[in-house]
Parts: sequence; structure tokens; C-alpha cells
Amino acid sequence: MKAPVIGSATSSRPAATTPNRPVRDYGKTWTIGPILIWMSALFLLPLILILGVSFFTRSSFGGIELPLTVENYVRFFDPLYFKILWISCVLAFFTTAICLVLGYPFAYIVARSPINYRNILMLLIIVPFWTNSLIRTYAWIVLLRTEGVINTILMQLGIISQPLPLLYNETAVLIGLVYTMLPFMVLPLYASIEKLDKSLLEASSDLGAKPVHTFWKVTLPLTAPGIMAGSLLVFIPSLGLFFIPDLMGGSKTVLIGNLIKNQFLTARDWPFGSASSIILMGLTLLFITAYILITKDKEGKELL
Amino acid sequence: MRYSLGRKFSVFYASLIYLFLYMPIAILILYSFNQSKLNAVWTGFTFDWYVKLMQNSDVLEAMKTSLIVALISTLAATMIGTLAAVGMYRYHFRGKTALDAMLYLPIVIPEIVMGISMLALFAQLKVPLGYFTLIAAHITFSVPFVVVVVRARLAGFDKSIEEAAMDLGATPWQTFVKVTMPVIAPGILASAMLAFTLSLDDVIISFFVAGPASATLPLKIFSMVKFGVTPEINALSTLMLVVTLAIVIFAERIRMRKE
Amino acid sequence: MLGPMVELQNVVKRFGQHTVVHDLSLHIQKGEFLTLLGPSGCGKTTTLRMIAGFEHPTSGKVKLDGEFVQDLPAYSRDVNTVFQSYALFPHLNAYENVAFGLRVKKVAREEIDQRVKQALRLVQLEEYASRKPEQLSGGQRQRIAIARALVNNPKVLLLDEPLGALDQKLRKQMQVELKHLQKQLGVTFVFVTHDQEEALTMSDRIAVMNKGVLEQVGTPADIYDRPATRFVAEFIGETNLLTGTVKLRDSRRMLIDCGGMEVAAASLQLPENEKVTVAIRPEKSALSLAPVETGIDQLVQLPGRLTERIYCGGITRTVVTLPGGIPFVAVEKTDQLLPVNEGDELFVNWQPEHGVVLTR
Repeated sequence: MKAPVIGSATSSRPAATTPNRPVRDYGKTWTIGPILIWMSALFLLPLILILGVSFFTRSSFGGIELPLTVENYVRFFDPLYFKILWISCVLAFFTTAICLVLGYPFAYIVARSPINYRNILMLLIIVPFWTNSLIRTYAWIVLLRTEGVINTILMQLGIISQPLPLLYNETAVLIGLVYTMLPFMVLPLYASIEKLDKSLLEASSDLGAKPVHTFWKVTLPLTAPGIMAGSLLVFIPSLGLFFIPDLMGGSKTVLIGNLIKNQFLTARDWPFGSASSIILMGLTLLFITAYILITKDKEGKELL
Repeated sequence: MRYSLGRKFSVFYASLIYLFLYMPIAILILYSFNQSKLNAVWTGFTFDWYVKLMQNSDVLEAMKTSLIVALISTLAATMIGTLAAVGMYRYHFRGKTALDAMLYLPIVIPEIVMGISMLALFAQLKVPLGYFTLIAAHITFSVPFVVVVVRARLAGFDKSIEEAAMDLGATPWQTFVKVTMPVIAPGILASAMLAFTLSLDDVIISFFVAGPASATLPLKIFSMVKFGVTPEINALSTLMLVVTLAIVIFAERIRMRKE
Repeated sequence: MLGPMVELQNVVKRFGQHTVVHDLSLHIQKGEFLTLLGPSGCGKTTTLRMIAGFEHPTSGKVKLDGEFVQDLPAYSRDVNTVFQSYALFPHLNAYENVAFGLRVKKVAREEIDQRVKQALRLVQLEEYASRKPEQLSGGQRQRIAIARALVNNPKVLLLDEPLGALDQKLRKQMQVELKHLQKQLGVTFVFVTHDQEEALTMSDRIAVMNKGVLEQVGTPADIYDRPATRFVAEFIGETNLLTGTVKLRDSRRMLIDCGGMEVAAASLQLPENEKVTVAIRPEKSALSLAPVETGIDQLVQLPGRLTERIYCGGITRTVVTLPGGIPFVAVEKTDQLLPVNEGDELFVNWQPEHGVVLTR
């Protein structure tokens, strides 16, 4: 729909301005040039590089050598490693689902709150959004560890005699992930719920739909772009946040993020680490493509 | 009457979520003032941990690194990003969609992929890990966000005022400095603050590209946490929270003034 | 059962400290086209929303076809609304929008199909069934909104400024179509507008509201020829207003002193020295070069000076300044203008029974 408009603007512009203002041609170079060079060199090139490395063989000194091979990709589907991907996806899925279930009613309440204090309520969501995720993870460690706040309080109250093993398990990792990612779910949900025209809800009620029906047939479909954007913003980073499993899961929980990190820093198997990264990125692109296709003609670019 | 039950539930539920979001942070801050070093029993109020922190040369070094990296990368990313946003707003060129995609990707792909790919690049080019690699990496992940924020500001920009300036005899450069810049200034400032916070907060990418002598504050916290929970980390976290809060409130002020 | 279809009994609506509707009572008959008319913020939309069930009265009762409904939510009332913004569901096509009400009521599939098609035929949009709202023009959206409401066979159709977003030409056309539709189906229509012309052309009866108060209810002719209040006289059409006090009164006529000018009007039960306003429509008055020879109780005649003539095609609006600097607008036929120029003296006259005496 939009392409012809852009096309016509392009064709009419030079005709109107170029003859007496040749200066404008440099403008393009100076504005687009730097970013093009920078992002090509430091974003695109590195990606191509690890794509290349992923087809090499690990040398005995931790470097890379020939021959070229797809062994690294094959190895990833070995049950040992594939299980890591599977657990990562399951954990990321639960994180997303819990964030959605907790976040949707919350975003709804905030978006429908009286206008005079909606701004302050929003600010209270934005602050954790900007707060360092490492610090927010650490805050939970303070609460959950063996000598932590919860165990101390419970023991002083005499409810328990031995500290509970609250930290270093998958539940702790899940709590950490949900806590860190919840604001990323709430913000896009809030944006789409706030945009929802109130008269549509009234129209639904007017046509005989009970509140439950209105929610399923009007509210939910119309806020679907927000739900999908939020899910994407939670799901993808959840796969890569290696420090939460590191700090809260102990050595028990290894996720794909940790696997990649370890291949590069501990095992020094760069080809396998690269292949794992490429698979993670491929998975991500798959989700994003699905997202773009689903929200094609609804305003889809609300990821931010 | 009929609605009051629903409203009570709403207030209750929203309060629970806010409690969930803020309680751990509040406790973290509280215990940065606790005398006891060993456990969570409250033994008395103290500023000792902040004093100790200021005597910890490693921490001070990390603070310095974080600030230098954040300042330089913010400056560079804001410049590159703003120019690009203006260029993409004003010009049409071949490969614009591709450039769009290249700026969109870093925002959505997992940070760890960006981190290890840059590490691979620096290793191949034999660039030693340190300030330089940190700054380069931070610029790279900040630039796309700057472009998005400044472009959003430009989207509401009335092109005819630029044409009016040119019509009155201003050159393209004068037009940019005297008309375009002041209008999009709040957007640029907002994007700079975003870049600054992103840089200050980054853990994952910095983890891969920082050298042993160039740990940023979050990396320092990460390594300290690995060795256990101490009130010093609480104090350091509290300080970082205060800085973040100040930036967010400042940014919100600007946003409100704009509206 | 021939009671009114809608009955509002002493309805009051407050939002916080602000009273939007004051003690409003109104009966709307079955099959009637009633318009709530008033300036923006007069409470007409709030009144409509209380009938629809989106708002609930602070006090008072709402009766729908003999049953009290003031505490029922919108979804349990047999009324449907055509919204100002149309409020078509953007994720559903025209067909599904129209089918929405029937689906939530779990009507049988075949019946839904039949009734939706019939409703689309009624608004002449059968071919557009599969279009999304964004692919329809303003006029088409409007019709889908009407079809979506009517397909449920509501007892009352509520229309909240439904023509406000349309351009002038389409608006006129839709006015005629809506009126036809209402006559054809015999459904009770309650129509909200701030456009007095729209109200006059479409309605069986008009309820004029101002600041939350019902000023007058009556047929368009009643409202236009016999406004009950100063507000109604001024809001509907153009009116000249002269204020004064009652001087003399007999069974047939009374004489009102308007700042030295003596104005005769039909007699009302009013005490002497009562303050009143006389309202005269421009087209009910005439101009003459010299006073007409007749009694003061036969024709009101006031001297004045020609200030301005405004050409309006077939007619010309002529502004005359009366003694005391009061402007008075009269209407002349453009091809029969009096031979006078600006600043010249002339006389305004009208028959006493055409001056409407208002006490509020």
C-alpha cells in the first residue's frame, strides 16, 4: 500500500531541488555513510564471521582449522545438547506464559486507571524496566539464599527449623526470569490496551455480549499485537540471559545461553559455540518472521 | 455500587504486582544499611558499607571504566544514530529496507549472539580486549535504539517548515542546524539518555568484550555476586539504582514537557 | 399495552460534583422518531447513554417497554446503538460485524446468515460483506453500523450524532435514508444531534436540552413557531429578541414596553410589570418606507435605520437598527428590495400574534 507513495515522492524530489542545490547529494553520504560502515563492520561482519567459524573444525589449541564440516550442527542435535535447547525453550515459554498471565490484567488495570495518576503508575513500571537486570537478579538472591531474608524470617518465626533450599533450582531460575522480564511484557501490552477504543467495548455490550464475551471476542483480538510483541520481547532474551541460570540455578541448570558462553570461554570450542549461536539466532529469526507475518497488516512495528 | 467490588480487586491486584516488582529492590536497599555482614538478621543501621565501597579500589576502577565507556559510546552512538535518522527521514535510496533490517536486528536478536560474534571478530583481528573493544561494542548496540527514538520524533515533524527555511534562503546545513535540530532536540536527548542507560546496564555483551583490566561496574558486581552476597554489593547496587532512577525521572520530565 | 416505549422518570446524573442531567422526565412513544437536540455538553448524549445502559442514573428511573431497566447493564437491554464513531470492530469484516450481536446470543447459524444478509440488503451493502471496516468509506461504515444495530430487532434504536463525521452532501442523503428506514421498519428511534436543521427535518418530536435541563418537547412546528423559552427560540433558527415589561393587558392583547417601543402581542396570564421577551422570526416580519395606517393592536410597527444588507441568493437579509441600538433582522425578496440605502429610515412591522412572548 505504501510503496507507490514513497516511489512518487522519490521521483518528484530530485526534479524539484537537485538542479540548483547539488549540495544535497553529500547529505546522503554524510548521514547514511557512518552508520552503514559502522554497522557493517561491527554487526554484520561479526555475524558472517561466526557463521563461517561454525563450519570449521576445532584445533587442539582451542583455535580453528580445516577441514570444513557440518559436524558442529550435527553435534547440536545430539540428545545431550538438544535437551539443553529444549529445556531453554520450555523455560522461556513458561517465563513468557507467566509474564503474560500476570502482566495482562495488570496492564489492563493500569491502562484503564484514572488519567490523573496513570502517568505515575506507568513511571513505576518504567523504573524497573530500566533497572539493571543483574541487580534485580541479585535482589532475589538476597531473598532466597540459605541465609537469606525469607529463610531468616521463617526461622525466627519458628515456622521452619532448617533453611529451605529456595535457591539453586529451576523454580528460582523461573522466578528470576519472570521478575526480570515482566516489565518487557507489560509495556507493549499497556500500549495496545490503552489504544483500544472504549466505544468498541460499549458496542459489544450494546449488542448483547456479556463482559466475558466482550473480552474474548473484542478486547483479546484487538490487543493481540501487544500480546505478541510482549511475548517476543520476553521469549527471545529469556533464551540468552546466561547470568540468571548462572547465579540462581547453580550449576544444575544449563541453558542455551550458558552453553554458548561456556563453549567460548571454558571449553574453547569456537566452532561449536558459533554453530549454537547461529541456531539460537535462526530460532529467533523464525519467531520474528512469524510475528511479522501474523501482524502483517496490523501495525506490527511496536516492538519498542 | 455494582462496580466497587471489581475496582477493589483491581487495586488489590495492581498493588500485588507493584509489591512483587519493588519489594526485592526495597529489601536490597534496606540491607545495604545493615550492620551484620553475615546474614539477614537486622543488627543496626550503618553507612559502613558505603564507606568501604569508596575505599575499594577495584570498585572505583570499575566505576571509572563504566562512566568513560558510557560517555564516549553515548556521544558517538547519538551522533551516528541521529545523522542516520535524519538521512533516512529525508532521503530515499537503494537498500533502505536492508538498512532498516540491519538496524532492527540488533534490537531483537539475543544479546549473547552479538557479544560472542564481536568477540570472534576482535579475536580474529587480534584486537586486545579493553576500553576500545568495550566502547566499540557499546556503540554498536546503542546506535539502533538511537535511530528508533530520533526517527519517532522525526515522524511527527512537519516537512514544510524545512521547506519554509530553504524558501527563506537557508542552506541545507543552516536549515538542519537552525530548524531541524531544535525541533528534534528532545528526541536526541532522550535517545542519548537511553544509550547512556543501556551502556551503564549492559552485562551480557560487555561480559565477552571486556578485558581483564577493563571490567565495567555490572561485570564487577557479577564477579562479586559469584563469590557470595555481601552488604557491599547491596550498597553498590543501591548507588546504581539511584543513578538509574535519576536518569529515568529526568527522561520522563523531558517527555512530559514535549506533550 | 400502549404505554410509552421509553420512559425517563426524574432522571438525575452526576459525575462527581458535576450534575450533567437535572431531573429529566420524558416519554417516547412506540414507533416515534424523537430527537434530543442541544449544544455540546447539554447532557443529551449522557441521556442517550443512560437509555443504552452505558451510564446509570444517579437517581430516577428508566423504563423500557413497561419494565424498569435503570440497573440493567447494556448487554441485557433490548436497545441498540449507532455510535458517533461507528465503533465497528476493526478485526471483523462487515458481515461479522453485523453478525456479532446474533452470535453472542447464540442464534442458529442459518438464521444468522439469513438475517445478516437481509440487514445488509436493507442498507444496500450486500456486495461489501467481506470488506474490513478500513476498506469502507465513511458512508458505508455508517450503514454497516446501522445494519449491525438493526439486525438484532431492537425495541429502540439509539443514534449518537451518527451523521457528524460525514460531509454535507452525504449527510443530507443519509438523513433522508434514515427517515425512510425508520418509517419502513416502524422502530422507535432516539436520535442525538446538535444540528437543529437535522432535527427539524427528521423528527416526529424534538426534545431540546440545555445545561442538563429539558427545555421543551414538541413537534418541529411547535418548537419552531412556539418556542417555550428564550434558549429554544435562539437555538432553533434565527430570532429577533426584544425584552421589556408588560404594560397593559386585556383578554385578547397585551402591550409590552420594550425600552420606549410599544409592542403588541397575544394576551397571556401575566401580571403587569412582568419582565418578558418577545421573539420574532425574521420571515414573519416585513419592512415598509412609511407607517401603515392601522391600529396599534393590529400591527406592531417600529421605526429604524437600515444598517446592512446581506445577499443570500433568492432572499436578502436586511439588518435594521431600532431605537436604543437594537439590531433587528428582517428578510426581503432579492428581486423586490425596498428602494432605500444604508442609513435611511424605514419601518419594521409584524402581526402581534407572530411575536412569541417568553417568560424564561
